[in-house]
Amino acid sequence: MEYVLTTESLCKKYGKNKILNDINIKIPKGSIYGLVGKNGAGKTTLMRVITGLQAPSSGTYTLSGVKNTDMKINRVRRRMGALVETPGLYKNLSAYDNIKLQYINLGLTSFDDIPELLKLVALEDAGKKKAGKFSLGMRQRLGVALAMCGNPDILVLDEPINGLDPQGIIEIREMLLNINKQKSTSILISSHILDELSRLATDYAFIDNGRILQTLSAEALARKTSKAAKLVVNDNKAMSRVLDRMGLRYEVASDGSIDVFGDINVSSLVHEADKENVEILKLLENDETLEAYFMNLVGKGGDQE
Amino acid sequence: MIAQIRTLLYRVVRSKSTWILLIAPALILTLGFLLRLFEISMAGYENAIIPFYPAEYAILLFFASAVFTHIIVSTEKSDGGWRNKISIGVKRIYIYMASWIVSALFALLSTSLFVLTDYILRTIWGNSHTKNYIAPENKFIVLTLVWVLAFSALYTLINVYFSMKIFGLVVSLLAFWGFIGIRSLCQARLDEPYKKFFVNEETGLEEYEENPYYVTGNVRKALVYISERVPIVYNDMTDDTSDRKISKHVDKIQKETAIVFLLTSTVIGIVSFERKEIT
Repeated sequence: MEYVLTTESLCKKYGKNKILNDINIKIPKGSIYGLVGKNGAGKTTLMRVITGLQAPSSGTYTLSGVKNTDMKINRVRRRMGALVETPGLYKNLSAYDNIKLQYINLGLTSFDDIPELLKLVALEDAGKKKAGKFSLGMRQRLGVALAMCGNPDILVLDEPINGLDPQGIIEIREMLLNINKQKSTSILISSHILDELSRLATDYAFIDNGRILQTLSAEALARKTSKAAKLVVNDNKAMSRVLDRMGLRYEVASDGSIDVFGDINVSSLVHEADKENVEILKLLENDETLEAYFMNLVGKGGDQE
Repeated sequence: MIAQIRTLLYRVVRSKSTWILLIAPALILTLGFLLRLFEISMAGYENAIIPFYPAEYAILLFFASAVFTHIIVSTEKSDGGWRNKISIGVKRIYIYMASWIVSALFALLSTSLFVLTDYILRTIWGNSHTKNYIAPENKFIVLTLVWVLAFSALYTLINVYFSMKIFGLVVSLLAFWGFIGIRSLCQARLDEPYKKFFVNEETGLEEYEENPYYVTGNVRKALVYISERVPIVYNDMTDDTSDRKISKHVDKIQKETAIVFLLTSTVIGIVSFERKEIT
């Protein structure tokens, strides 16, 4: 598999505080990679390091096959677009002028597609209004537009839907899904609105206190969080036969319990288990959202199974 | 780097502060001149000699340059210009040099405007009131330009280095006054051994006192060395108008020092910016 970004034992310290601690992630090319973490977990710091705003204290990262210590890293960054923390907007210039300046920074000579980019982020009517007078939502949209200048191969977006109304959130989501699908743009995105992230991401990394707790694909996460029951029985083998007979998907966890997925008819399950002389010691219903999954993960310190 | 200069100029040209700062020294010079004309007319007699030294106003060029550099660098920082550029792979040295070059361009333009204003005032008024209008010598104008360019490099370094808003401006202005202060201190110690004098009221003769601040030997050599190298502003020159001239020797040293000053500030600034953590 090709990776657009990998980090190798990446660390970042401020004095004695370790903000990033041995970060190892691999972002597949063409994926939408969700970075999930609380405030102060290290998401923004990780993005600052990747975008060259800060240097790592130790470890390295590789962007499109080029290591951060390589002289060519700046050339590779030309194919990156970023919105880190707050949007970088010149307050005394209009949306058009802000984008035009970013085009000039990128070495682009034609400004013909700026109106189209403004339309994409619903700022086509901003006109000559100075960015300093924009609402929070407008500033955020312009920040996303700036990140998308030059059709980058990789987008790094730090909480891009902050301050947006529901309509705006939907529009940005659809835009990101669109560019990911049509242009195979890889996206690294962090968001506090986990429900929204769950509609976008194809892969996840959960981060807490500067450490990666878990990385997994959206499919794997869906398996773990879909409606299920957790069974504790006296005979796992016999129970497996029961579940196979009932056509239910299940996984035996490391603690000996059985996670059953899908819709379960509890009385049928108990009846079938009784036929095999299986005693159900515990039956717990489990219906995790991404939020609940994350909170459980953070509570357990990582590697939730 | 051309792209970085272009984007900075694009912003700067659209900012009202740029134009105000550009014309301020020349405007204040003109107002000072008009005020002096008024004073002469109020003196009420022909050929009143109330000297006007336009070169005294040249110090304003340093202030305007400090404020301008602070504005362009601090807005690049606070508006996220640095973040936008660095994250797309623009080299930090280009970003830094663009800031200095635009600051230097401003210094050049504002000095040129100042010189032009001086020339116009001199042309209009100088012929009929030559005793009153004390035009600066060309050497002084060139030196002022060289020093304003050198200080623009220092101002860029200071404003890039300090993250706190307005702090960069305060330090820039203090740095300028600091250098001027050094010169004044040196001058006070380099006076004549019997400079101080008084007129004996009974005899009407001038009598001299020993200058308690007079220094000799290696201390004097060191002070001379320093005073020849700190920036000359017009007010630092002697009160005797016939001595308001810069010797060839001092002119050469001043230019060399300004160039070293400029290069040192730029190198330190670039190294500092390469390591700076952008938040």
